[in-house]
Amino acid sequence: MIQGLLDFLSTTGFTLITWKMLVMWAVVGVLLWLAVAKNFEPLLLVPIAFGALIANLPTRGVITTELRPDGVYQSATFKIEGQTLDHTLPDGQGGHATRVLKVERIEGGLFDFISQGIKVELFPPLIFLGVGALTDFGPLIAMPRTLLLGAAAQMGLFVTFMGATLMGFTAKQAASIGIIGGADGPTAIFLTNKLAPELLGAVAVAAYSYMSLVPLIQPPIMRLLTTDKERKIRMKSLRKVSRIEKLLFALLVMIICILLVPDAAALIAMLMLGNFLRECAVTERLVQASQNEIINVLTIFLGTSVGITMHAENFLAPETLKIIVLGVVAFGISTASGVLVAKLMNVLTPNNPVNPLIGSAGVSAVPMAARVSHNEGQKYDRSNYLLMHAMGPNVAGVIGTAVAAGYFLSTLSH
Amino acid sequence: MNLPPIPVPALLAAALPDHPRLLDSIVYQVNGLIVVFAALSLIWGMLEVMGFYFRRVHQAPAPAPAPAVVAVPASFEGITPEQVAAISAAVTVLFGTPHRIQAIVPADPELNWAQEGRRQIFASHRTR
Repeated sequence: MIQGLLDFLSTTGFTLITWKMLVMWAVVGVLLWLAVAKNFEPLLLVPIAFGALIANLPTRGVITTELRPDGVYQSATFKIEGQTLDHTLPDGQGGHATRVLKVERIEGGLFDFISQGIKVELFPPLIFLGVGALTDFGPLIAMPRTLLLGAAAQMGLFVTFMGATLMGFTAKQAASIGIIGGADGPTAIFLTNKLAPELLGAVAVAAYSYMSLVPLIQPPIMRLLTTDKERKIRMKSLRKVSRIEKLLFALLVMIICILLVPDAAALIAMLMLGNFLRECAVTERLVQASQNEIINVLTIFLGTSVGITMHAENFLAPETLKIIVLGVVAFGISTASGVLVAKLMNVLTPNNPVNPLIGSAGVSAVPMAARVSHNEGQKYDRSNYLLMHAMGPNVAGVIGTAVAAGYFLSTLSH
Repeated sequence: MNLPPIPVPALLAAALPDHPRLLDSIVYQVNGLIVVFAALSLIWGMLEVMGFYFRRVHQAPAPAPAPAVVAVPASFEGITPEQVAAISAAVTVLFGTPHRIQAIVPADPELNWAQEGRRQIFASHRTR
């Protein structure tokens, strides 16, 4: 009887727990605490943390993880069993030989299949469809000079690229790390999956964590670089933007960006499709679906798929710590660059100043970064409403990060 | 349309080794910033042109000057001329065309609850 119980125990997962798994459980605990207790981006952090917990449990039928010859753990690999059949068509039908794969069985766990949404780069562009449907580009169209702030905030990406290469990362890995500074989760995943898939877990977690920590990271940098007087600057009211302008904006921006960086076409095209659906006002059902069902379902799948890449063997490596540090550096430089360029704009156009606090919204964490600018401004002048002004650089940052990703892809992926 | 591999980025990639030197990295990041600033500046220029056109097309006619309040009628008793001026200005802005205000009566505070109830009922229906 005892032997039977011992035999049963040997089939349970308890014997497979390692100390690295326990460390990852602690990491999961911190992420869940930030999400649930501190309310830091719970929509993202809860699925990521749950995925990470699943990845670090001795599961069966959930995800397949294999150790590659180069020492990297590769997850989400399902097996296809079948046989190749050689067919030779009769002379009348071409007469050439073809080889056909006859699939007999597909074996894999739940997340082996769900994670294909990241591997085949399906989720990030579809998330962008929802982002486009949720975004009002009106403030940007009304005050187009804030595009400069969106561009300036990409400085962190490139400076961090240099820092990462100096720390021993390859150019492709460095680009994947630098993109964290854009604070755009889907773009970071899209780029990293193409250039350095081995870093996907660490990069995605860093990008999403820093997006959720915007209210903690940005304000000290903003206060350091601005004076009391600058924080109280009131900006002129934005003009009303017509529907036709918004429709033209979606079409023209898509054309310009795709012509300039064709590698970012999937992201830009879906972003602007979502926005066009929103602004054309005749596709209400599609907009509702994009804003709610599509983006919500994908957020669950994307978050858990990202979390499930946080396998202890991969995640608890010195490279992860470096990526986390470089990520926050990228984010800080992007924030500072936006604020400094806003100050520079005020020097050049003193008659129509911008409040430098909106410069930090150039990172593309929409709308958290804009909300931070607004809240910081309100601390110094309760009746100063910066939110809509900050939305301009904020949505410009989304476009800027997609363009920067397109640059990295077109120069490094071929 | 699926583009064939582009020769220029291929050259750039060849120029940037896996572990680039500091100078290569600097040149690479400056190029990247130029691309980002060029793309967004192009959009900026396009938006300025578009805005210039649409501002001219949709320029609203200047609102008619509000009629001056010559005298305060008896039905405005208990209300200061400043309040009458503010209410007149609000009416002018709201309707655009000249209107004559015949009476300004303070709202009965007893009716507030009923008004709020009616407002909520109307707000719960979608006007078609």
